[in-house]
Amino acid sequence: MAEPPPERQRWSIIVVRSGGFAGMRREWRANSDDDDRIDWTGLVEACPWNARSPRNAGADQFVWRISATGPPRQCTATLGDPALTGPWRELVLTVQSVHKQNRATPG
Amino acid sequence: MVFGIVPPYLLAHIADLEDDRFAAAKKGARRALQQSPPFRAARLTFSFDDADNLVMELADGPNRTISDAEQQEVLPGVVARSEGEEPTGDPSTDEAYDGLGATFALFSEVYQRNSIDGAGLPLDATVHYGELFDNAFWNGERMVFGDGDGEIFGRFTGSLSVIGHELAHGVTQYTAELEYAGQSGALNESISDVFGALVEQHSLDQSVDEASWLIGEGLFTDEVEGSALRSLQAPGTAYDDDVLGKDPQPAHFDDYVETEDDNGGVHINSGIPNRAFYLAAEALGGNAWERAGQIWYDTLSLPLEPTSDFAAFAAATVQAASARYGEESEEVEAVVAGWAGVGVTGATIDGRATA
Ligand SMILES: [Zn+2]
Repeated sequence: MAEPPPERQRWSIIVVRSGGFAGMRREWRANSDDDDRIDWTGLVEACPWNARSPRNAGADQFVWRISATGPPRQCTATLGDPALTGPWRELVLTVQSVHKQNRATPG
Repeated sequence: MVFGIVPPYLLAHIADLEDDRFAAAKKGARRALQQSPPFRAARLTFSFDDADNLVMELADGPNRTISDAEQQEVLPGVVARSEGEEPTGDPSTDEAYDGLGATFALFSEVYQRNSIDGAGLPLDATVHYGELFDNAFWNGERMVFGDGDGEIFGRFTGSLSVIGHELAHGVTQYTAELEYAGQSGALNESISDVFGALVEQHSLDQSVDEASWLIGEGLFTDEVEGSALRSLQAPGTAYDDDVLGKDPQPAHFDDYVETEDDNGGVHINSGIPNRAFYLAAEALGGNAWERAGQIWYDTLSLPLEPTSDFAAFAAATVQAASARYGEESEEVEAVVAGWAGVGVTGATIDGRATA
């Protein structure tokens, strides 16, 4: 069992989806340790955390709150559903798939 | 009997008729011809009066276009059914078409509002949006419906109250413009639930007592323990499921939920004004779209602030009821009691007209 290289950042990521017509909250979580073959730092750093996302137009669209914690770094963002594209979508799909795998094979 | 679309040449002919028996049709035809773009849609009805005269009447009609996103998250998709066309056989397309027609009918026939903007705005919808997409929404211009994941949700066009809810968001956007966050957001949501429920009741000709008062009935698959997503009659009781948990809607202002999610819980706290409407409608009895619905509809046209809270909206409903039915009317009494029943009271609601 090789130790990860010391410079490797470890991340804990939480994705919360709220709103939508049903108004039901859903949450997905993943940690670097869940799957160290994934380039978590690359996924996190590709996202424009500091860019202001436009508010959802209209009504009943999903709202996404994404937070990534990799001490000492802490990033959070709130996005409307139409803004969940490119690197955001990549990150969320990865967290959802790792979360699903974890639940499928409980330790 | 409804004969669908009237071609422009026939409209022009009707507009020029000299016969007094066709005065209503003539007026309607002239109005339709003056619209810009020149002609959108109208409903022509023929009947015979007591003297056996043929009576033609021209009324506002919807102008629907249903598009198919073909499981992509790209709008608008390809046109699947336009106004006046025959059913396609695709349930989502045909339910959206019929549901928009039923919603148009409520606003047009009961409240004399011609479509979302009051001026015949085309009704555009997209079905089959996204893959296993668990939502329906209004994007500011069109109504969009997902197919559901098949495990928790079926297709979102499956409930008329959902289609009415989405179209009503358009009406609110063109009238009260309530900001979609916090209390004003919960009011925005509640208005859509109210008119979504009323579309269903009007379409099924159900009185207050006969109606289910549910939003999204039939949306859940058989796997879910629940009848619908929300209940206006009993917020918090629509579902109670192992996986989904329990319907989180409060039925009283004391239980208002403070949260960062969902723009401040707009789909949760809407339970409070939803029940206020139900209580007012129940007190008045009969058909809810007639008096209670009329008061809520009139309220949308009052000068509300975009950030109006429950108390301000409640005061506006009392003002609307007073203006239409009189200060001492049973309608005003029912509306005041409805809000009191959910704990929204105060100096702003005292049963007096403020206008
Ligand atoms: Zn809504």
